[in-house]
Amino acid sequence: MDTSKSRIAARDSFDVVIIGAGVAGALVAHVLSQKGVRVLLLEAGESGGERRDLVLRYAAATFKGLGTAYAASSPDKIPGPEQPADEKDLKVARDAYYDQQGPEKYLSTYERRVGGSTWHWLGHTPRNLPNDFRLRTEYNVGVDWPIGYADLEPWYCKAEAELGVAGDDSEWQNVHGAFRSAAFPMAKIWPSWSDLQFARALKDAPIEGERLVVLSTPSARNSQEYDGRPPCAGNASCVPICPIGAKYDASVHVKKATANHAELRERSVVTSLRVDRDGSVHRVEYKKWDGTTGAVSGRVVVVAANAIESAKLLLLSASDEVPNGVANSSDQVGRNLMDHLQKAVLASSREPTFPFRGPPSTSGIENFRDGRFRERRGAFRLSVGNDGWSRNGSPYNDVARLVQTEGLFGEELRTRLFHDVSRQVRVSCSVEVLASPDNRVQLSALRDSFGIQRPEIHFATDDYTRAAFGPALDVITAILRAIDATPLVVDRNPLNYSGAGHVMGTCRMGFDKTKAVVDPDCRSYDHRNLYIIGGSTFPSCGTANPTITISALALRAANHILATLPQIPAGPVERAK
Amino acid sequence: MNMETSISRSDLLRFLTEACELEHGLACSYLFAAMSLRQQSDGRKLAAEQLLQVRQWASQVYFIASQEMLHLAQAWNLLTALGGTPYYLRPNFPQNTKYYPLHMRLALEPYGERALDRFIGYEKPAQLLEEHAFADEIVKPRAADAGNNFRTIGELYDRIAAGIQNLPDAIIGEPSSQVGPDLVDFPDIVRVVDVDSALKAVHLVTHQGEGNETDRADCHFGIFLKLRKDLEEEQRRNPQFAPAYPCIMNPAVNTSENYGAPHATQIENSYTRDVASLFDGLYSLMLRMLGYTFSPCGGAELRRAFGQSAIVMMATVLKPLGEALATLPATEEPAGPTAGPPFGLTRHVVLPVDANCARTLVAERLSELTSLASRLASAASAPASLGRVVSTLHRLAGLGSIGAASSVARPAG
Amino acid sequence: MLHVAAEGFVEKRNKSKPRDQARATAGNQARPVVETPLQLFLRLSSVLTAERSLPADLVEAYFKRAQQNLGPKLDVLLDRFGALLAAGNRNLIDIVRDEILASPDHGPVAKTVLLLWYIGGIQNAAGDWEMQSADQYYGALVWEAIGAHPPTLSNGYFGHWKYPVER
Repeated sequence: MDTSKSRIAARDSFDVVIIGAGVAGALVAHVLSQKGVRVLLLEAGESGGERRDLVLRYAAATFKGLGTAYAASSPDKIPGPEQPADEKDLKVARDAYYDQQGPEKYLSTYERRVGGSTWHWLGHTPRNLPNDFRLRTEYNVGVDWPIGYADLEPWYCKAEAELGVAGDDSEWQNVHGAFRSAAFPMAKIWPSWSDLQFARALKDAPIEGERLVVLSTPSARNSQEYDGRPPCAGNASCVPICPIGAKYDASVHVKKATANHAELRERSVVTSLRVDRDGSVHRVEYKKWDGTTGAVSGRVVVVAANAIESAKLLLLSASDEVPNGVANSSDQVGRNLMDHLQKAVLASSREPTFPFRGPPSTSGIENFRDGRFRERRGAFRLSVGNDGWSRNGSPYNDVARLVQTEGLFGEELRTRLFHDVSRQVRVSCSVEVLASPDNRVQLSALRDSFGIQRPEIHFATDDYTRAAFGPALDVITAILRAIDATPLVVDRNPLNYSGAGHVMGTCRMGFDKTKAVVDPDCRSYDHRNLYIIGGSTFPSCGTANPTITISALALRAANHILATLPQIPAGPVERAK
Repeated sequence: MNMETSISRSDLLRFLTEACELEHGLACSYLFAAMSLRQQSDGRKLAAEQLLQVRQWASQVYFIASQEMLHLAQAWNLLTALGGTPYYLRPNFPQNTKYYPLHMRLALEPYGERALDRFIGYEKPAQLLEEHAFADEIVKPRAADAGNNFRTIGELYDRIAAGIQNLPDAIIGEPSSQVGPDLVDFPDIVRVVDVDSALKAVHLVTHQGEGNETDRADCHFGIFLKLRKDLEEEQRRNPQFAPAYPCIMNPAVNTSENYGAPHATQIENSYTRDVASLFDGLYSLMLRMLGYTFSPCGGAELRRAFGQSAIVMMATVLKPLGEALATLPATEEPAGPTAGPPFGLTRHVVLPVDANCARTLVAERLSELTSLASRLASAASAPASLGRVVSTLHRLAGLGSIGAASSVARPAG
Repeated sequence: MLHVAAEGFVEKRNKSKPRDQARATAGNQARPVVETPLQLFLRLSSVLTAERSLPADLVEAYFKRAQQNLGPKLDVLLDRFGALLAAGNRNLIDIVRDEILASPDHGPVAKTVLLLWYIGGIQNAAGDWEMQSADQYYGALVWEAIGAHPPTLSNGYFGHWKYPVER
């Protein structure tokens, strides 16, 4: 059946159709619906379950991964890198969904559900630095953003107020030139005992000639009651779920939007965007979990489905009018995929640091996020962990070792266990990746359980990134020496890293429409009523967790939509009588 | 509300001590309720999902209690800024309804609908008094006290703020006596050095308590309303739901010596009574140490050491001890009611200004209490947490003068 | 909280034992009375974990799980343990260390039980600790032993992670 010409009823016609109910889509929906704009949020996933039930599911689960709490209710759920058909396949979900073409696997994943990946994120919200926006001008590498830190700064402040960010004003004023024009909405999350030991050890021990400062990481985590949500109680489970909602997740703004009459259609997987003869995109087609199909129309359409799904959708929507995919005259859609690549060093400290308490990380070291070295190799951010050696299976495998190998039991077991585990520390580095046209998302020949083409991913690191690991590990080992901690192992192989969960690039913004997908307002150059909002628009990624930047961009773009909406006509679709 | 045009300094000091009593009393009420909430799941009483819910409620009430302690500390800064000294006395529980113009009956009661109703009443802003029907607890002010009346704590603070603004040379205390986050672990505490900072301090307190007209969700009042609603919902889902241990109301170690509160409930079980006595002793010591920090004594080092230790004691000694008391039997009946922490204030001396004397008194008293704790911890029916409390006390006592370079980290992160 | 003391283990149909008998500690003399497998399981668990009393619902749940997972090996272990109790006048801790854990037959079985108490799970062929219920996850002894708590149930409030832990 040719659905492209079927009628769209009035109840399916909206001012703005937003694809993706993650943090970007939710914020846009919130801003617009507050102003009376008729908004539809289309989400491939579901809202699924009371928070408490999600937590209990996690507690009872054998494999505790990012997606464990969010196993969907229905066996025919939309697949994704954390959404296998069978809960037992969670461990292999990522590579069962991505068609990994290498040479290196793309390691980061996301959640396909209402609220998106903010359900399982850590909650860290450091801003991008001024130089992160101007790599080419300053360091002659990568590309510049078409906006600068100063352009985005007021929106960072607004985003921090919307999400509820806790931070220390005196610590963060002007870090690497990132000035702040507003105070943090909340006082900082208290540093852990472990953080304080690191800070004390490093205070008088310069490393590589620098005095390393341990700063509380700004986080979308309540340090007091905020927006009707309680303060953090240190449940230490931020990743993958906050049992009390002290950590922000985008269901907050989805709820605000729907309270203002935004409509949410979940379990609705968008399969195609239709381009009209005049080049606008109004018609959005989707498939529901139950197999039925639907179509809606928006005067404005927003694609906010994370960097991989957004690019995939644009490419899937290729047609005679747009043989290369929607919004892709630049041939950049899907290209420039980025991530932050991480290495963790686990160590045993001489004095106890009492891990497994508080958020998994409350402090970091920002010294190396910028500098002249960026002409030659990537910057890195360091974070101090409160989660011991959990990445290695602690504390379970510590008990197992003491019992099985050493035959301990009773009081002796308890004493040794406490002694060993209370000294577990972790310091991690997170390294920037430059955009490369060959790191890209395309359409795989393989299809998912919905019959939709899966994302085919090509990814490789370059010397710029690989050359950063060495110096990062040097700093980490020096830090561990300062605190009198012995590393378990220092893996210097630049090909052994983990993904940060920061899916960025693929629809980059820029001034030049032959090289960029969207303009500085996140509007497609090819289709002037189409916005693409989220981490997909990042031309470069710096070293900061992307969510607050995504949020700032989303608020800024929403503002732009509000300003231009009156001039945008409805699409050439018929309205039912 | 009837406001006097000239409030003297001694009026202000009196209002502030009343505010101190109230904040202090509220903190204890809230702590008692939080400590009474169940700790562990047990197939019969509390399933895992209810345990999660109950512990979340406990976190929230503890957080509010910690803010009340901040308010008390803030009131102490205001007192010393006006030329006074920190005040931590208050009537023991249950308090006489007529004791305050507010007619608030402060009492120690386990977590439940009734306790929450009372908490909602304590924090209710004046504007809402007429709207809601908790009229039993909050009564109209007595006509005879027209010059002195206030219906809520918020109104009391309004009078204090007005008084400070209208009193010439209100701030006479030494700025160096003011306590900031460097001396004690209250990151939000305001040092009161002028009228502006005084008003800022008052605003902080009232805002956290009752919020403002447009935004009540995040203040104590809003939180208690929500907790009440959550409890009702949970009870609807499961009528057998019992979130708290069956603590007696207003437990006392010795009702005949419990000054100000003859109607308290005597703890009959002798072991529990000893543990309760330990609790009261540590509580009193903690208050005195904290009071020392806030007093214009000079000697930043000892003030900081006492302030740090007091906060550590609150979190790592009084909390587990109070929680343990909520599980210990009040009578000889093992399946009967449990006790709960009495928060009983008994005769004591305020710590002297002289640092050496203060140190000696604290060290000796701490040592006595540590020995008592050790003895109690070795009993067969000792709660597991008591052993850890003993270790903490040893560590605090082992700091020698509690002024030496300690392994207790400074708050600067 | 319904804990059962290992020594004064109360079955539903028995009356509670007098106080002074119930107060005996874990490293006590053996009792001459023949005990049921569940009682033996409790006693053994108590010595293995050095917990004077253990939650009744977990005792029952773990006994069942151990039976399912270990089968006759558990029966053999408990028989042996029972016999050692009845026969000897040695310290329970010595018995467990020398006769149970050191034994190539009984050791692995007892260790599985101990790990079940500490972790709330039994390791499967893939190396995962198989969980059975949220109650067991939350009741796992490892968390308190390391001075922490099960993730998602902190039992604390804002800022507690700033202070050191006592042991």
